[in-house]
Amino acid sequence: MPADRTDPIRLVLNGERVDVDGMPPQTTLLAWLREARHLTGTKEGCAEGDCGACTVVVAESRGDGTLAWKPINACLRLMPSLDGKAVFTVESLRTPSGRPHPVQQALVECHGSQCGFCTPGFAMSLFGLYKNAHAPSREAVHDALSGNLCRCTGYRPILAAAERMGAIDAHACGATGWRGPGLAADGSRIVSADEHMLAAQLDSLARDATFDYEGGGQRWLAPVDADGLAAACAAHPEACIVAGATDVGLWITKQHRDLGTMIWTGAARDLAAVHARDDAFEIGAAATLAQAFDALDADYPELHEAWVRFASVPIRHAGTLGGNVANGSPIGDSMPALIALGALVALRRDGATRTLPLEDFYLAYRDTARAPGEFVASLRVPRRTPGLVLRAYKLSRRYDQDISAVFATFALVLEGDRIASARIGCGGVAATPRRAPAAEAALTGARWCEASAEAAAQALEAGFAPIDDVRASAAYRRRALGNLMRRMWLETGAHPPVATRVEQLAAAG
Amino acid sequence: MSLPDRRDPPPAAVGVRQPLVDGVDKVTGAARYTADLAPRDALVGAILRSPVAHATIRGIDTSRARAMPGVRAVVTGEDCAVAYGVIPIAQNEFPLARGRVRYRGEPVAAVAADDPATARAALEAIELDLEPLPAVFDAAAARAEGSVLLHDDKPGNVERAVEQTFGDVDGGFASADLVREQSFHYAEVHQAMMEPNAALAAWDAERGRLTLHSVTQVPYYVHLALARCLRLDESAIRVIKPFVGGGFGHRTETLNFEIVAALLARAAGGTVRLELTREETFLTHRGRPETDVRLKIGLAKSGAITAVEAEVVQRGGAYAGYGLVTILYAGALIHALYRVPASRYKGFRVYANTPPNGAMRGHGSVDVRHAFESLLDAMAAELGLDPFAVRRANLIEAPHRTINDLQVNSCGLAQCLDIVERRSRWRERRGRLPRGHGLGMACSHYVSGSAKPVHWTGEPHAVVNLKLDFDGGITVLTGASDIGQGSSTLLAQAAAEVLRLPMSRFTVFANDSAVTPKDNGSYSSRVSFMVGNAAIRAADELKRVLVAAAARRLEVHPDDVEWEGERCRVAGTDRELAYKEVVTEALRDTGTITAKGAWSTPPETQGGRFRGAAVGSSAGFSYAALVAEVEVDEDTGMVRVVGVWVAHDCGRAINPLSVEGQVQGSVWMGMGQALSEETQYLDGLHARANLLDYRVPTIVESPPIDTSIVEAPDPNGPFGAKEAGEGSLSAFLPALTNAIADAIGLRLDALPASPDRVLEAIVARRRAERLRRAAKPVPQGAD
Repeated sequence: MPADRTDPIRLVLNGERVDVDGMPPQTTLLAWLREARHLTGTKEGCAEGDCGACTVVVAESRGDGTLAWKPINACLRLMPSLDGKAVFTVESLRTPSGRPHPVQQALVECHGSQCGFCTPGFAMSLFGLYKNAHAPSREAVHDALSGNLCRCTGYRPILAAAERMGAIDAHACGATGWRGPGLAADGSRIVSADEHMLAAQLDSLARDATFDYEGGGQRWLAPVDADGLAAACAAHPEACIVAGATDVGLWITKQHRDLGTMIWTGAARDLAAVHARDDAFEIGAAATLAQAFDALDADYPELHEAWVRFASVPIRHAGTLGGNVANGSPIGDSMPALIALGALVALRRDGATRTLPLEDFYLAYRDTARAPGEFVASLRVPRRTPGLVLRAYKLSRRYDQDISAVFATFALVLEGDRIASARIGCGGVAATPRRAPAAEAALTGARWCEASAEAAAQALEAGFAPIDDVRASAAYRRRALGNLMRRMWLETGAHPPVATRVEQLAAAG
Repeated sequence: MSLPDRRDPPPAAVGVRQPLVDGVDKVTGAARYTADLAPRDALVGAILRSPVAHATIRGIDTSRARAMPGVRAVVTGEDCAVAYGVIPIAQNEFPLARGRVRYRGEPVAAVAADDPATARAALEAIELDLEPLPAVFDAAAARAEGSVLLHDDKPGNVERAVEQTFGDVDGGFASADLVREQSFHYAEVHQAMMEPNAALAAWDAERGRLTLHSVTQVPYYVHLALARCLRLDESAIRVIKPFVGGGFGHRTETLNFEIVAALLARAAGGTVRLELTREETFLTHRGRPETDVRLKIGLAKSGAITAVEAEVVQRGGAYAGYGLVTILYAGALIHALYRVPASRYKGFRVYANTPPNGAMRGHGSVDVRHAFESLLDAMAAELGLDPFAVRRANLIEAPHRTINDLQVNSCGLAQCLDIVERRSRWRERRGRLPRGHGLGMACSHYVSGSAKPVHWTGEPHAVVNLKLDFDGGITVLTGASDIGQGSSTLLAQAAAEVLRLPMSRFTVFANDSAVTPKDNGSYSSRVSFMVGNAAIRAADELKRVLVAAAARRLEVHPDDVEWEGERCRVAGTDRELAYKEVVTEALRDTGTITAKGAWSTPPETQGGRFRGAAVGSSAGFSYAALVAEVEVDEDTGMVRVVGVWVAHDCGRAINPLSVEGQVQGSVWMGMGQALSEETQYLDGLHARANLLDYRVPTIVESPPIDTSIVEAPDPNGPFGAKEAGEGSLSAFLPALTNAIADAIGLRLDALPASPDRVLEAIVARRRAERLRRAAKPVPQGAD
């Protein structure tokens, strides 16, 4: 391909406009920062998004003169996906006067850095929080830092630093401009002049046609809308469709696969939104997990905890619900919940779009109904039905950042004390995310009572043949799945409802 | 930092909550770790690892790899015929396997190439001809009659069998009011320090010299192993330890990749960066072994221990490493926490086809301590004694010599117990919590450095040099490896305290064998104690020189000089000199001054005369008591730690900020082992070699750890200090299971307490209760 067809990747690194060309599009941001830019403050701890040592902050234009600040894992982020964005690494935080930024100062003062290897990642996650919250709650700090592992401190000093950083005088240490706090005490956004300038600079980098980038024999196509995406997928049915790259990144860093031609969904602006329509949420394939979860929270607050535990903040900023669904892992946490809610998946090829119930999308282990040239365009999640009683349970050895041993979502629609309909989505207990027909049948039409919950629990225990693996034993999965049904009865049907969750008990005690 | 006004009173450095001297470098990303140092033109090293757990190597064909463009060196076991290992009498590992591979993931060949892709391609081009052998993956299979032997000189695959008896054990059990025996099982755990392994080796072909940067905790041992394996004179080697991202014992011995990097650099005649992936770092292993403990304790009605008998079996992996030390520690540290009048210990360190184990934090003591504190707790309940009461019935009063000749010169355990009992509101709350909630407690201790070094050269245990120059700045030259625990800060504090100078006068320069004094390394919690003492002595010496200079200048006797750091004066007068004037005088004629301090453990602390007596001996023991509060979900088996209260006797907190950090970090690491961490091998394949499946706790499940410092000064410790970074770890595990027992009445005898194990145990108990009820009809009228 002639060189003049390839535009460079245009981004802003630590405030400096940089063009990148010649390198393969599957180069990760981490590799580029460390090897090409010699910015070694960003560390590689695992190269698979588990530890957070490589956390950097990406700023994107919101299109209104302001910036969205998103911590992400540099190890899973592919370079061309940063086209038109600004990247900030730990080296940039130190203020022009040479003094540490408040987040850095707080880490030193509180002894939040011991060996220091995880520290740049924590500093950047904290900086993301600094830009997105004023006096963050304990819960917000936990959420912001759950994707960063530390092996020295036991985390309490880091938590102390998170609570301390806002009290350090940003002006006095020179943390002004984009380095300053992002929210005022009243919750209003603080946007400095240089943030406005940066936003304008990023707007000027926005593309109006497919970004077609080549390097090292690989190609990257980033169409700017759904039609462009459809055309690219039709023209390159063999291409690897990349969304958040939170799994694809591992094919690169762990399996060293050559992905050849990649088509990125993330630039398609008309797929980046979540629309709350009267009948359904229309979640575009390019909407991030964070966007999708925010929207779903409005109708389905019962799922919030599951979403928080689903993945760390950096992963939620990178990953998409469309990608999660299309990838079809048997242990993904979104599918059981979406199946229970009756979600539909819209698949598009060229101009034609077909719609399937999500549970019919999964054929076998890692095998879906998506045909070559076809892509997941959106997900349609019905709005809340009156009478809905909903519970989602995630069981994993670690509270956060863990693959579920069992993930179960129960959606019962009650009419009086009768169960008009029941949908159950289960993950971790079969080769694909599944409904549980026998248990649903046991519930549908029955009275919502202990006996029908017990019948459903037994049907759940009998209805799956899970496997033993490193996450849990088959016996545990079966037994726990049944117990979760029993638990739902205790929580929602028993009178009075029984507080069963450890967190509720903690709050009460 | 600005210098204080010279009229200020001299600053105190010890006891001050001192942020780490290198803290700012760490938070700004300026701190350079090994993988950050590679020059642009460095070659890329990569290791080919055994795909099978046990096999004879019939041949390795490297010809295709060698012929590839961009490949600069290929090395195999042929390139190093010298075995290495941290214990001089147990060296049986080669940096690249020779003749046989003994675990899946063992290095068999390595390449250095121009770039990572070429290095990977070269590894793929190497052909291994392996003849599979039967393999054993657990200690029982390894010891079974007729099992394949990993090492021909070790029948039954037993690397080391230990049998030790002290006192009248049978008499002790006979006189006991209650004797109980129980078996426990512990999964293997790994350090999972945040920085993956890496080494940077530069070969200077002209001079025949090697420079190695590595992630080590023990640069001196690496230095020795490199000299052995590369057959180089020790003076031809320079070892530098840059910033290191944690160790926790993973790096307390020379690791294969360090030697491989050096072999590659020499073969390629250049500089090689060898950076291991997280998976390879897991495969290098050196964690705590899978362990079985059978424990028997005799108690009097008062709760006093009458006798203890323990049998410990450790699956040590494929090579010796620290193995014999670990199995000896497991027995030795049954003592010195409580009075134990009689004990019998049998230990078996067993080879198996898994990655070699090592000296993980709490080396040797953790699993046995769990068994001990669990059984003690259960027995106390049988005797109607409170868990605190049974511990108090067995307290040591210092000075005390244990029956296995460990010398305890200070013990603050009684205070530790009082503090955590009060702070956790134990008396008010224990037994009054709702079902599913529980409180449990336990105690622990640890050595402040092994009193006998691994290499008995006759040198002191620790040496520190202080360099004073024209600028008045003092450089602390030390070989002590700061891997995050804060030793560099502590050494500066120790010197500053003695010299009464502000911290800003001090720079710590550590770990460059060309410049700094030799140090045995950061392990067994030896650094604060031993190197801290050496720093005090060096500062005393420098102060003597400075006082003499001041006396000269003031024309008085040195005894008449009152030293206050930034100034000194003639006693009883207002004649004084500023520090810089003293420095000028001191350097007159001599120039730059280097003052030296050295320290060794007193002979009486070096253990008894029986075989293996050195292990466990220490110049000072730390003590800890800990209470854990849990909530247990009986439907799902999920255990949540609500809170932890710990009190740690560190003798003297030289840096309380650091002590708290170390104590919390160790308690937290104990929590990981207790709740969620474990390795797992499927036919020798590591099934959890990543940070997702090897579950270290995240911030969300990490509870508040209420930390109290107890100071029972040790006569041998620097300013009375003892260790703080290991001792409280092992108290967490039994406190957790004791709390689970309090919550749901179930005593776990296997760790980690993962949801499946807990639910399994709950279901098994229900089944047993049902069977019991079925077998025994309930009489009419009974409840």
